[in-house]
Amino acid sequence: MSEFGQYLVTGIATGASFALVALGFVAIYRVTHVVNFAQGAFAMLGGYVMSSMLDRALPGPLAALCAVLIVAVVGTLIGMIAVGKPRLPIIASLMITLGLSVLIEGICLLIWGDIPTTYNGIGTKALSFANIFVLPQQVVVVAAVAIVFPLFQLFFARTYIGKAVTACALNARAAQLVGINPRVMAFLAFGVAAACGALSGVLTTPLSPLTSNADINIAINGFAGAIVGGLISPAGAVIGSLVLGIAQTMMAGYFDPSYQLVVALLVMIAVLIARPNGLWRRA
Amino acid sequence: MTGLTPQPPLHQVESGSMEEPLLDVRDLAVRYGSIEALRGVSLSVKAGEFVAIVGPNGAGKSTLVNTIAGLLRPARGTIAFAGQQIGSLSSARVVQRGIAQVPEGRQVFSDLSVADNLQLGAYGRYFQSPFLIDGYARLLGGRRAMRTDLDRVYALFPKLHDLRDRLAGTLSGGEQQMLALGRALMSEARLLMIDELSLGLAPIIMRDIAEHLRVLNAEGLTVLLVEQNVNLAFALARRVYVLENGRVRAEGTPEELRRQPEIERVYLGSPIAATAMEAHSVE
Repeated sequence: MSEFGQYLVTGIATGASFALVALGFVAIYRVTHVVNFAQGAFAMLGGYVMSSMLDRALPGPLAALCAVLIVAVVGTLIGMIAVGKPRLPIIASLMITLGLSVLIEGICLLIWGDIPTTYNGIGTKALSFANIFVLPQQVVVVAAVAIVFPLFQLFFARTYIGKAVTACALNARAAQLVGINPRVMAFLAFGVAAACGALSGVLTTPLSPLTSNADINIAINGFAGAIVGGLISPAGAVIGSLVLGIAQTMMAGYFDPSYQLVVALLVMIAVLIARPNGLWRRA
Repeated sequence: MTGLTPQPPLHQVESGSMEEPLLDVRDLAVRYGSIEALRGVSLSVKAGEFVAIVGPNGAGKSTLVNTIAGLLRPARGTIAFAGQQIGSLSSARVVQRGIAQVPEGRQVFSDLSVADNLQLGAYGRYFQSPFLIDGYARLLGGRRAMRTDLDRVYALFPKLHDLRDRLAGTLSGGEQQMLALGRALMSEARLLMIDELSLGLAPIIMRDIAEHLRVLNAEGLTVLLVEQNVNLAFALARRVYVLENGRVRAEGTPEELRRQPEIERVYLGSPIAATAMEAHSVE
């Protein structure tokens, strides 16, 4: 039983890291209907920039803030390239994000090399409760999702700009007729998505060292989580990511760790076949 | 809410010369690939006028208003509004110049509340550049004006006040048409373009909304109505353009057009139709 509890807790922490990436997929897809293949690269870049900031002796929280902001700017620029040209077909935007993702991967390899990169998180001594161990950094990841998700929801549901972004997602043509520029909203979505991805990278690098091709796994896991919500539901994306994290940890614990990514792919395929619009119909 | 107390007009009252056209379209051509939807359309709308465009399906009516609104690019010709060329402007810029459109099929933001829909109608007044912070500053400074305008829309359509917290997608067709009109009025439009006012509405609802339009026009709002219901268009407008195959086939007052045998035969039909026209009249 304690083994199950341990896997469950670890799975929730793993799923929380996927959730931040998944929220990024949702933010962009809602507005542009583009699946952003660079979402994993945002997380990877966040981790790398954070490591460089710490190398320059910046305090942890300030380094994290800088990393998130820098990646948010990079994300906005990527958005400008991917969806900035009017009437660009969605498939073209999608391919541009894929190309830019490979470019970021290459740049990361040039700057940070191919040696796995990591840094210390908040404490290394595991906390224990009822014979279940959890690292303080895992608690931080879960806490980040617990803070970011309501903020994400509040932004879209309560703020004027958030409602304008939602209006674009609901009816881009009508949004244009009230003066909303869908491209500006798309750039904003790319910025928000990049910030979410970067935060995931910043928080999970102490748990799982970065390599220059880490973005692929990150993107697959985040995408699989977002797919559960049909790519439009933030709540669906978070729940999907948590379920996926738990399933992967159970698979690794009870069977074979090498099948973890297979679980993500199976979840993705199953949801796409059974419920192509996700388990949540509404945004 | 201000209830039914008299309110100053929400829109901008035109005080310019009635001889100067507010909207001047010259030799406008629009293509969809190899198909020419508009073939050299010219029309003008003077400040304070109520002009209608009628014609059969596929005549190019919606293409015309969508091009004026900046949603489509002209292949040839010019569009001038208040003496300035707007043919190459984005839809967001066109809204900022003072042209609002009620699109065909209403196209309200279905998953946002009635109040949110109305408030987003004012987006173009505050967010006039891609720098959202700039717009937010204007929005914060203009909160009182937004509130006042909202109250004016509620005074015009008291039912929208009762429904203000309802999701727009749950409203009836007539309520959605009121909402689409109110949303357009929130932009402080100088010219209101309505694409198919009567589409999908019960006659009694249509008459009610048409009466509101007549009042708004009497208060000084310039209206350009695109309408397949010729009887309704003739009852409301002071001047009517008949569009056919992307060209202006005839133009004149409703009385002048009724005297043209071909127009009478094709668009107004038998004396029975004339009787129906009387029934639709909101005068």
